[in-house]
Amino acid sequence: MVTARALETAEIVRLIGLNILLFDPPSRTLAKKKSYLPQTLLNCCLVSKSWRAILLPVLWRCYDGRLMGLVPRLIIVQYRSLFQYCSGQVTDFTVEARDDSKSSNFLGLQELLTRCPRLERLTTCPVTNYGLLRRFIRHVSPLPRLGTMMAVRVTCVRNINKRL
Amino acid sequence: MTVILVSSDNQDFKVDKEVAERSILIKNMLEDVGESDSPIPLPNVTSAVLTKVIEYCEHHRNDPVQVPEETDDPRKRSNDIEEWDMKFMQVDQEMLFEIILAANYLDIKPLLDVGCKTVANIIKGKTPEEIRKAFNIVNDFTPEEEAQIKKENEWAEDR
Repeated sequence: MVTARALETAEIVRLIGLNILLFDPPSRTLAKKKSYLPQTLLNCCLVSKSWRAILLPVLWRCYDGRLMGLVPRLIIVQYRSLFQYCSGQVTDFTVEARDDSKSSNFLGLQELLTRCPRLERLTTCPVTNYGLLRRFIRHVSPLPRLGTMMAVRVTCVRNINKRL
Repeated sequence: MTVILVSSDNQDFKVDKEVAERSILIKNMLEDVGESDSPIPLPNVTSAVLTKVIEYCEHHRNDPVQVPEETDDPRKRSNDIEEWDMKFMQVDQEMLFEIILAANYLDIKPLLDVGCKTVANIIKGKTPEEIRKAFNIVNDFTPEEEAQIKKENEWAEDR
Protein backbone atom coordinates (compact mmCIF):
# COMPACT_ATOMS: atom_id res chain seq x y z
CA MET A 1 0.00 0.00 0.00
CA VAL A 2 2.68 2.50 1.04
CA THR A 3 5.00 1.15 -1.63
CA ALA A 4 2.31 1.63 -4.24
CA ARG A 5 1.58 5.17 -3.04
CA ALA A 6 5.27 6.10 -3.23
CA LEU A 7 5.71 4.53 -6.65
CA GLU A 8 2.67 6.34 -8.00
CA THR A 9 4.47 9.61 -7.26
CA ALA A 10 6.21 10.57 -10.47
CA GLU A 11 8.89 12.64 -8.77
CA ILE A 12 9.89 9.74 -6.53
CA VAL A 13 10.11 7.30 -9.46
CA ARG A 14 12.18 9.89 -11.36
CA LEU A 15 14.54 10.31 -8.40
CA ILE A 16 14.94 6.55 -8.13
CA GLY A 17 15.74 6.46 -11.85
CA LEU A 18 18.29 9.26 -11.50
CA ASN A 19 20.07 7.14 -8.89
CA ILE A 20 20.38 4.11 -11.15
CA LEU A 21 23.86 4.28 -12.60
CA LEU A 22 24.03 4.81 -16.36
CA PHE A 23 27.83 5.02 -16.39
CA ASP A 24 30.48 3.75 -14.03
CA PRO A 25 30.78 6.39 -11.32
CA PRO A 26 33.84 8.68 -11.57
CA SER A 27 35.60 7.26 -8.51
CA ARG A 28 35.69 3.78 -10.01
CA THR A 29 36.88 4.85 -13.40
CA LEU A 30 40.23 6.44 -12.69
CA ALA A 31 42.09 3.30 -13.67
CA LYS A 32 39.81 1.96 -16.37
CA LYS A 33 37.67 3.10 -19.22
CA LYS A 34 34.16 4.21 -18.30
CA SER A 35 31.36 1.89 -19.26
CA TYR A 36 27.83 2.59 -20.37
CA LEU A 37 25.35 0.61 -18.28
CA PRO A 38 21.84 1.14 -19.65
CA GLN A 39 20.37 -2.30 -18.92
CA THR A 40 18.78 -1.62 -15.55
CA LEU A 41 17.08 1.56 -16.73
CA LEU A 42 15.96 -0.17 -19.91
CA ASN A 43 14.41 -2.86 -17.71
CA CYS A 44 12.72 -0.20 -15.58
CA CYS A 45 11.20 1.27 -18.75
CA LEU A 46 9.55 -2.09 -19.35
CA VAL A 47 7.91 -2.32 -15.92
CA SER A 48 4.74 -0.34 -16.69
CA LYS A 49 3.51 2.43 -18.93
CA SER A 50 3.78 5.07 -16.23
CA TRP A 51 7.36 4.03 -15.37
CA ARG A 52 8.21 4.16 -19.08
CA ALA A 53 6.81 7.68 -19.41
CA ILE A 54 8.75 8.88 -16.37
CA LEU A 55 12.01 7.02 -16.97
CA LEU A 56 12.61 7.33 -20.72
CA PRO A 57 13.66 10.99 -20.22
CA VAL A 58 15.95 9.81 -17.42
CA LEU A 59 17.46 7.03 -19.55
CA TRP A 60 18.05 9.33 -22.53
CA ARG A 61 19.04 12.53 -20.73
CA CYS A 62 22.63 12.08 -21.81
CA TYR A 63 24.30 11.30 -25.10
CA ASP A 64 28.02 10.67 -24.98
CA GLY A 65 29.32 9.57 -28.35
CA ARG A 66 32.56 8.18 -26.92
CA LEU A 67 30.77 5.82 -24.55
CA MET A 68 27.55 5.02 -26.38
CA GLY A 69 28.96 3.83 -29.68
CA LEU A 70 26.90 0.62 -29.61
CA VAL A 71 23.59 2.45 -29.48
CA PRO A 72 22.04 2.15 -32.95
CA ARG A 73 21.64 5.39 -34.86
CA LEU A 74 17.89 4.80 -35.20
CA ILE A 75 17.57 4.74 -31.42
CA ILE A 76 19.63 7.93 -31.10
CA VAL A 77 17.43 9.65 -33.64
CA GLN A 78 14.30 8.41 -31.88
CA TYR A 79 15.28 9.76 -28.47
CA ARG A 80 17.50 12.73 -29.26
CA SER A 81 14.82 15.21 -28.24
CA LEU A 82 15.35 13.95 -24.68
CA PHE A 83 19.10 14.65 -24.59
CA GLN A 84 20.07 17.23 -22.00
CA TYR A 85 23.79 16.45 -21.99
CA CYS A 86 25.54 15.82 -25.26
CA SER A 87 29.19 15.32 -25.95
CA GLY A 88 31.52 13.25 -28.03
CA GLN A 89 30.52 12.70 -31.59
CA VAL A 90 27.35 14.75 -32.00
CA THR A 91 27.87 16.44 -35.34
CA ASP A 92 24.32 16.98 -36.43
CA PHE A 93 21.55 18.30 -34.23
CA THR A 94 17.97 19.16 -35.06
CA VAL A 95 15.90 21.52 -32.98
CA GLU A 96 12.19 21.15 -33.31
CA ALA A 97 11.28 24.78 -32.70
CA ARG A 98 7.59 25.48 -32.61
CA ASP A 99 6.08 28.82 -33.42
CA ASP A 100 5.06 29.22 -29.79
CA SER A 101 8.61 28.52 -28.51
CA LYS A 102 9.80 30.96 -25.91
CA SER A 103 13.17 32.67 -25.66
CA SER A 104 13.86 30.74 -22.44
CA ASN A 105 13.86 27.52 -24.49
CA PHE A 106 16.69 28.95 -26.56
CA LEU A 107 18.74 29.56 -23.43
CA GLY A 108 18.49 25.81 -22.78
CA LEU A 109 19.56 25.26 -26.36
CA GLN A 110 22.66 27.39 -25.80
CA GLU A 111 23.55 25.27 -22.78
CA LEU A 112 23.06 22.11 -24.79
CA LEU A 113 25.09 23.26 -27.77
CA THR A 114 28.08 24.17 -25.64
CA ARG A 115 28.23 20.47 -24.76
CA CYS A 116 28.51 19.40 -28.41
CA PRO A 117 32.10 20.30 -29.34
CA ARG A 118 31.99 18.42 -32.63
CA LEU A 119 28.76 19.92 -33.86
CA GLU A 120 28.90 20.60 -37.57
CA ARG A 121 25.32 21.20 -38.51
CA LEU A 122 22.41 22.67 -36.63
CA THR A 123 18.97 22.37 -38.13
CA THR A 124 15.77 23.95 -36.94
CA CYS A 125 12.43 22.83 -38.19
CA PRO A 126 9.72 23.65 -38.87
CA VAL A 127 9.91 27.43 -38.77
CA THR A 128 7.11 29.41 -40.28
CA ASN A 129 7.48 32.37 -37.96
CA TYR A 130 10.30 34.66 -39.09
CA GLY A 131 10.42 36.47 -35.76
CA LEU A 132 11.09 33.15 -34.10
CA LEU A 133 13.86 32.39 -36.57
CA ARG A 134 15.50 35.77 -35.90
CA ARG A 135 15.42 35.06 -32.16
CA PHE A 136 16.81 31.57 -32.74
CA ILE A 137 19.78 32.87 -34.71
CA ARG A 138 20.34 35.67 -32.21
CA HIS A 139 20.53 33.10 -29.41
CA VAL A 140 22.87 30.61 -31.06
CA SER A 141 25.19 33.00 -32.90
CA PRO A 142 27.05 34.36 -29.82
CA LEU A 143 28.04 30.89 -28.68
CA PRO A 144 31.82 30.90 -28.36
CA ARG A 145 32.25 27.37 -29.65
CA LEU A 146 30.01 27.99 -32.61
CA GLY A 147 31.99 31.12 -33.36
CA THR A 148 35.20 29.14 -33.69
CA MET A 149 33.81 26.25 -35.70
CA MET A 150 34.27 26.79 -39.39
CA ALA A 151 31.88 24.04 -40.37
CA VAL A 152 28.87 25.08 -38.38
CA ARG A 153 25.88 25.96 -40.45
CA VAL A 154 22.46 26.90 -39.24
CA THR A 155 20.11 25.26 -41.68
CA CYS A 156 16.44 26.01 -41.88
CA VAL A 157 14.22 23.47 -43.49
CA ARG A 158 12.42 25.96 -45.68
CA ASN A 159 15.62 27.81 -46.43
CA ILE A 160 14.05 31.10 -45.46
CA ASN A 161 17.29 32.74 -44.36
CA LYS A 162 17.23 34.73 -47.58
CA ARG A 163 14.21 36.60 -46.39
CA LEU A 164 15.96 37.84 -43.23
CA MET B 1 15.28 26.27 21.51
CA THR B 2 12.98 23.32 20.96
CA VAL B 3 9.89 22.74 18.88
CA ILE B 4 7.10 20.23 19.28
CA LEU B 5 6.13 18.08 16.31
CA VAL B 6 2.86 16.19 16.40
CA SER B 7 2.55 12.98 14.40
CA SER B 8 -0.62 11.82 12.63
CA ASP B 9 -1.38 9.52 15.56
CA ASN B 10 -1.13 12.47 17.98
CA GLN B 11 2.23 11.76 19.56
CA ASP B 12 4.31 14.76 20.55
CA PHE B 13 8.03 14.90 19.73
CA LYS B 14 10.14 17.60 21.36
CA VAL B 15 13.18 18.27 19.17
CA ASP B 16 15.84 20.94 18.88
CA LYS B 17 14.92 23.64 16.40
CA GLU B 18 18.08 23.09 14.36
CA VAL B 19 17.21 19.40 14.05
CA ALA B 20 13.61 20.13 13.04
CA GLU B 21 14.87 22.65 10.50
CA ARG B 22 16.58 19.93 8.48
CA SER B 23 13.06 19.78 7.07
CA ILE B 24 12.56 22.68 4.70
CA LEU B 25 8.79 22.38 5.23
CA ILE B 26 9.17 22.85 8.99
CA LYS B 27 11.81 25.54 8.55
CA ASN B 28 9.43 27.54 6.36
CA MET B 29 6.54 26.99 8.78
CA LEU B 30 8.65 28.24 11.70
CA GLU B 31 9.70 31.29 9.70
CA ASP B 32 6.09 32.00 8.80
CA VAL B 33 4.71 31.79 12.35
CA GLY B 34 7.72 33.51 13.97
CA GLU B 35 8.41 33.02 17.71
CA SER B 36 5.72 30.60 18.87
CA ASP B 37 5.40 27.59 21.16
CA SER B 38 2.57 26.14 19.12
CA PRO B 39 3.05 22.49 18.24
CA ILE B 40 3.52 21.73 14.54
CA PRO B 41 1.07 19.11 13.25
CA LEU B 42 2.42 16.64 10.68
CA PRO B 43 -0.74 14.86 9.56
CA ASN B 44 1.04 12.79 6.91
CA VAL B 45 3.67 11.23 9.19
CA THR B 46 3.05 8.51 11.75
CA SER B 47 4.94 8.38 15.04
CA ALA B 48 6.93 5.32 13.91
CA VAL B 49 8.13 7.11 10.81
CA LEU B 50 8.68 10.43 12.56
CA THR B 51 10.90 8.64 15.09
CA LYS B 52 13.08 7.43 12.21
CA VAL B 53 13.10 10.82 10.50
CA ILE B 54 14.14 12.57 13.72
CA GLU B 55 16.87 9.96 14.24
CA TYR B 56 18.22 10.80 10.77
CA CYS B 57 18.02 14.55 11.33
CA GLU B 58 19.72 14.25 14.74
CA HIS B 59 22.60 12.32 13.17
CA HIS B 60 22.97 14.84 10.36
CA ARG B 61 22.25 17.97 12.40
CA ASN B 62 25.68 19.47 11.70
CA ASP B 63 25.85 18.62 8.01
CA PRO B 64 26.16 21.62 5.71
CA VAL B 65 22.86 22.56 4.10
CA GLN B 66 22.70 20.70 0.81
CA VAL B 67 22.69 22.96 -2.20
CA PRO B 68 20.69 21.64 -5.14
CA GLU B 69 22.87 19.63 -7.50
CA GLU B 70 23.89 21.73 -10.45
CA THR B 71 23.68 18.80 -12.78
CA ASP B 72 21.88 15.54 -13.32
CA ASP B 73 24.64 14.51 -15.72
CA PRO B 74 24.76 10.73 -15.22
CA ARG B 75 28.48 10.65 -15.95
CA LYS B 76 29.11 12.59 -12.75
CA ARG B 77 26.77 10.70 -10.48
CA SER B 78 27.59 8.02 -7.96
CA ASN B 79 25.17 6.03 -5.86
CA ASP B 80 27.45 5.58 -2.90
CA ILE B 81 25.71 5.67 0.47
CA GLU B 82 27.50 6.50 3.72
CA GLU B 83 27.87 3.57 6.10
CA TRP B 84 25.63 5.08 8.81
CA ASP B 85 22.93 5.91 6.26
CA MET B 86 23.11 2.41 4.82
CA LYS B 87 22.52 0.88 8.25
CA PHE B 88 19.77 3.43 8.92
CA MET B 89 18.02 2.30 5.77
CA GLN B 90 18.11 -1.38 6.70
CA VAL B 91 14.37 -1.50 7.35
CA ASP B 92 11.53 -3.44 5.79
CA GLN B 93 10.20 -2.28 2.45
CA GLU B 94 7.08 -0.63 3.86
CA MET B 95 9.15 1.46 6.24
CA LEU B 96 11.63 2.31 3.48
CA PHE B 97 8.85 3.79 1.36
CA GLU B 98 7.23 5.43 4.42
CA ILE B 99 10.55 7.21 5.01
CA ILE B 100 10.77 8.23 1.34
CA LEU B 101 7.21 9.63 1.40
CA ALA B 102 7.89 11.46 4.68
CA ALA B 103 11.16 12.90 3.33
CA ASN B 104 9.32 14.06 0.22
CA TYR B 105 6.50 15.63 2.27
CA LEU B 106 8.84 17.23 4.81
CA ASP B 107 11.25 18.32 2.08
CA ILE B 108 14.38 16.71 3.50
CA LYS B 109 16.35 16.26 0.29
CA PRO B 110 19.35 14.31 1.65
CA LEU B 111 17.03 11.76 3.27
CA LEU B 112 14.96 11.51 0.10
CA ASP B 113 18.17 10.93 -1.89
CA VAL B 114 19.36 8.18 0.44
CA GLY B 115 15.95 6.50 0.27
CA CYS B 116 15.87 6.64 -3.52
CA LYS B 117 19.47 5.38 -3.77
CA THR B 118 18.49 2.45 -1.56
CA VAL B 119 15.58 1.59 -3.86
CA ALA B 120 17.86 2.03 -6.90
CA ASN B 121 20.27 -0.48 -5.37
CA ILE B 122 17.40 -2.94 -4.83
CA ILE B 123 16.37 -2.58 -8.48
CA LYS B 124 19.90 -2.97 -9.88
CA GLY B 125 20.27 -6.10 -11.99
CA LYS B 126 16.60 -7.08 -11.78
CA THR B 127 14.49 -7.97 -14.81
CA PRO B 128 11.23 -6.06 -15.42
CA GLU B 129 9.27 -9.01 -14.04
CA GLU B 130 11.42 -9.14 -10.90
CA ILE B 131 10.95 -5.39 -10.36
CA ARG B 132 7.15 -5.74 -10.73
CA LYS B 133 7.16 -8.60 -8.28
CA ALA B 134 9.36 -6.77 -5.77
CA PHE B 135 7.08 -3.72 -5.71
CA ASN B 136 3.75 -5.30 -6.64
CA ILE B 137 3.40 -3.32 -9.87
CA VAL B 138 0.92 -4.37 -12.54
CA ASN B 139 2.21 -4.88 -16.06
CA ASP B 140 -0.14 -2.78 -18.19
CA PHE B 141 1.66 -3.34 -21.51
CA THR B 142 -0.08 -5.49 -24.06
CA PRO B 143 1.99 -8.51 -25.18
CA GLU B 144 2.50 -6.75 -28.53
CA GLU B 145 3.75 -3.55 -26.89
CA GLU B 146 6.07 -5.51 -24.65
CA ALA B 147 7.46 -7.49 -27.58
CA GLN B 148 8.00 -4.28 -29.54
CA ILE B 149 9.96 -2.64 -26.72
CA LYS B 150 12.03 -5.77 -26.12
CA LYS B 151 12.91 -5.80 -29.80
CA GLU B 152 13.90 -2.14 -29.60
CA ASN B 153 16.15 -2.97 -26.63
CA GLU B 154 17.96 -5.88 -28.28
CA TRP B 155 21.07 -3.76 -28.89
CA ALA B 156 21.63 -3.56 -25.14
CA GLU B 157 21.46 -7.27 -24.37
CA ASP B 158 24.41 -8.67 -22.43
CA ARG B 159 25.63 -5.18 -21.58
